[in-house]
Amino acid sequence: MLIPLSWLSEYVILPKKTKDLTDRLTSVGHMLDKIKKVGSDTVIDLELRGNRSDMFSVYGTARDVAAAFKQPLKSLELSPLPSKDPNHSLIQVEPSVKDILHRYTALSLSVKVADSPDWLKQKLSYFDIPSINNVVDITNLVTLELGQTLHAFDIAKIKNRKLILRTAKKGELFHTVQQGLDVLLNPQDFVAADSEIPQCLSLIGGLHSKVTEETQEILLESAVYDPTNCRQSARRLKIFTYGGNLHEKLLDPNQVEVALQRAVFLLQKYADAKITSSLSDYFPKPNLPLKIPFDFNLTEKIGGIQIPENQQISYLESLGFVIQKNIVTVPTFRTDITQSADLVEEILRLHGYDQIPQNPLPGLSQPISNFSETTFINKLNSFLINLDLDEVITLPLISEENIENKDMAIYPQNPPDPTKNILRPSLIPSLLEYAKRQLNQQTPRVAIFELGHVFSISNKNYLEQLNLGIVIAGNNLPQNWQTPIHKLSIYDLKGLIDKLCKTFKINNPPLVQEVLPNIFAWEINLNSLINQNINPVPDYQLISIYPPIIEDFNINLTTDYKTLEENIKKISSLINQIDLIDKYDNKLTLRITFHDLSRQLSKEDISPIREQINNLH
Amino acid sequence: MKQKLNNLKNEALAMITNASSNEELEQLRIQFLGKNGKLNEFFRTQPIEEKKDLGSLFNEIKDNLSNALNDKMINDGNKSNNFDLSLPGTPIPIGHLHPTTLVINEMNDIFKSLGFAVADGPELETEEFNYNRLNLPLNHPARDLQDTLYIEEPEYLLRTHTSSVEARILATQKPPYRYVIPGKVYRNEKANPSNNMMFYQYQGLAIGEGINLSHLKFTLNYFISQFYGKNRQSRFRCKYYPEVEPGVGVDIDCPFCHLKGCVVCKYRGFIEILGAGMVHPNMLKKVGLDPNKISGFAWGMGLDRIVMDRTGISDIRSLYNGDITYQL
Repeated sequence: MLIPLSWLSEYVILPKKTKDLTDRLTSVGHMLDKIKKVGSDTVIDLELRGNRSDMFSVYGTARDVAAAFKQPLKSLELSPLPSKDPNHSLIQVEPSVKDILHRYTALSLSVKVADSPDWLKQKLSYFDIPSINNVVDITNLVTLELGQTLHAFDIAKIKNRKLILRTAKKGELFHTVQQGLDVLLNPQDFVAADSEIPQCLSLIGGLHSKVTEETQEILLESAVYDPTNCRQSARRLKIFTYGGNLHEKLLDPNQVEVALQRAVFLLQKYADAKITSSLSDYFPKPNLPLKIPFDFNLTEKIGGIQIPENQQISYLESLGFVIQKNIVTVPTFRTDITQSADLVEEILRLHGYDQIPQNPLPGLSQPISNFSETTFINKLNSFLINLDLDEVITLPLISEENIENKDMAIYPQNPPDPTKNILRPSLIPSLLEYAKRQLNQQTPRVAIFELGHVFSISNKNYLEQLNLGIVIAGNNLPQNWQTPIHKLSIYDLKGLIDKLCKTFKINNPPLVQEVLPNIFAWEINLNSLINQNINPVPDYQLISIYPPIIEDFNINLTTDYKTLEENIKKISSLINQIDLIDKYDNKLTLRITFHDLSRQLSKEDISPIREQINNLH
Repeated sequence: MKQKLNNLKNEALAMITNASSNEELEQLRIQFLGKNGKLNEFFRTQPIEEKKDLGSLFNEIKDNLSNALNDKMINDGNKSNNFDLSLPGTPIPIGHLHPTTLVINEMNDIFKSLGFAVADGPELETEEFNYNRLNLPLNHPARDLQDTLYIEEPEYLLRTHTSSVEARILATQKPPYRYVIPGKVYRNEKANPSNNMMFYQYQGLAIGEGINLSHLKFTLNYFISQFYGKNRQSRFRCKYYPEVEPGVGVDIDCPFCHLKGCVVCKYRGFIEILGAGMVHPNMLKKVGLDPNKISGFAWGMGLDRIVMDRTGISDIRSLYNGDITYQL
């Protein structure tokens, strides 16, 4: 919100240094975003809280400044409004607007339309609002001053001097006051029309009834609409105005009267206005001020700081709250205040958050431990790093072309990139893309893993699970002068997986695959392991005082390797370990370790075993 | 006689010291310690009574000379082998954790010392936990600001903030407890160097009896001193978030201009790092907790800017698409 300081100072005395003003405003909840000089004046831009609709106005800001600096707030000059017409003859309210219109108030005045005085043009110029004429400019000025919109119609252009407040018909055409911008409405849009055409929307005025030099009498209105409805209309029609923006906030319908009183005062003074009707006021549910029973001890309970009760009262009163005994009456323009905690915030922000002391949290009465998925992931991460794998993190949306079974894929409704249109049911496609990107950059060795969630749907139930995916490609080492290198093979990946599964006691893991030429991948779902509290600690053994006997054997592979290994092991319990040290087609060289921890083995112990091994094939 | 033996020893030691090659040392060894060497020859010529006397000295000298020869050989051995150690060593691959994981682990450690455990929750979330339970009913304007990625509007979505886990913890756990919640969050954003559809947040929650803003201040100041450094200045100011009341915005002094104001901090002198506050009474009531007895604070911050600052990467998309390599 832009606030020209010269304008602000008309309502409250400002501190001499602008920095003192902006620092305090930042501290009490309205952060300084930008500051600029316009001629000799300074304009500050405040980042405002979304829920303080009363601050979207120069006067509303002045009110908070007055409270923050303990200064008096100057009252506005207002003119009384005419008495209410029980038939509210200027407006006719259709039942269709019952839920979207909270208040609509109108009166008519005769005016002398003329060029605006310079001070008025200047004030509008800070906000880049062009000067049209004194009447239109005054409605815009009051909107900026009070944060409540007003609109003036040339009443001669309104058939029968009566506005019909209704919802639009489907496809109804509306000519907005912006030349050339015409829109088609739909039944959700609010419309103020006469018996023939729509004349005004909640967000923008109409072309036909705009006030010009020829206007002699105006219909002046101010209204409060349902914020959600305004937001929907603005989005659909793509019309974003200052007034429309105000209407998306929770406004106080009581400010309608204040805005009209202020406008009437200014019109009388600068446009020779004379009231020509009574007040038509549609206000079916007047809002009464909220009364909150407040325990002043709550401030210390929530804020951790003791503030004397009379000081708390003084803070609240400076903001317009009325305190009687323990009941706090909330001014209606504070639509953001609903309960005690909100009052505590008001007191603390004026007192200054920097005044709040620091205390360590009290001791825990029960120990809390990490969620099991976190614990498991940490253990796995450490282990995978030790396997010389790099952790990567990829996005969850992938192209549906990456998967075959599209029945179990989840299609988000509004993916930002339409080509990446499903939630990943597997980590492999994105890991693959990642690997290819690295290989294209001539990275010699790609060895990556991702521990992340995958998503699928089955029987209309959304399933979210934790998977581990690993991809390797390239060479085992960068080219160097000391050690020969080799291209990574599927067995390199299998070696990693064997180690991983042995350590984490994973039985029957999925198989490793060559997903693209020379790119190898593996994926496993981890949900069954998360809660098992596996501790990846190896078995420790002491070196035996009896050394083993190690011999090499040449064997023809006629079955698969696993079967051969099992058959060999069955021969004797003295066979401790079998290592495959060479392979050429089906000819294997096995290095077999014979060991007995309780005695020294001799050639006599080994001979019969050796013979059986050699007889295997 | 003993004197003659010692003279022999000294002569040998001098020659060993002056030897300039292993061949020479080998010659000296044979010359003095060999079967027909000077020591043995000397000993042979002694009468038997003398031999008894000289026995231990003889052995001692033999050991001395043997050690001297060995030492000299080993030392010279080094020099004669000549490695050019400026040649590169054999490269070895090592594994690395993702920079985001490292930042998360560092923060988890800091909060662990204050008794916070780590929690997590689903990324595919329901409207109930992502919005309704966070004091954000339907039609609340803050919902629009969040540009939700919907699976099935409005009921199923990808969570827009880690606060959804906060809502789950409130619903399932009995106070008192303290948790930090690192996690991925999703928005319907077109990717560009500073925005992505997926990014990381770091949330915190402490619920119990008698918790107030002074505890929040201590906790966050402690975090700032541990994570950013002991000399950093923090600023606590009033700020609005639907899930907390009172609401707090926390800034730290701009590392570039030290409060003077510069382009990086938009001339404010401070940089926003996180939002926080006392958990809104509506949220406590919703899960059956009495706000008069139980209170708590929460905070949330974005992680990606921190990760990007630490790694010097200026495009957020690079964190997740294969652009980074780990050069170590």
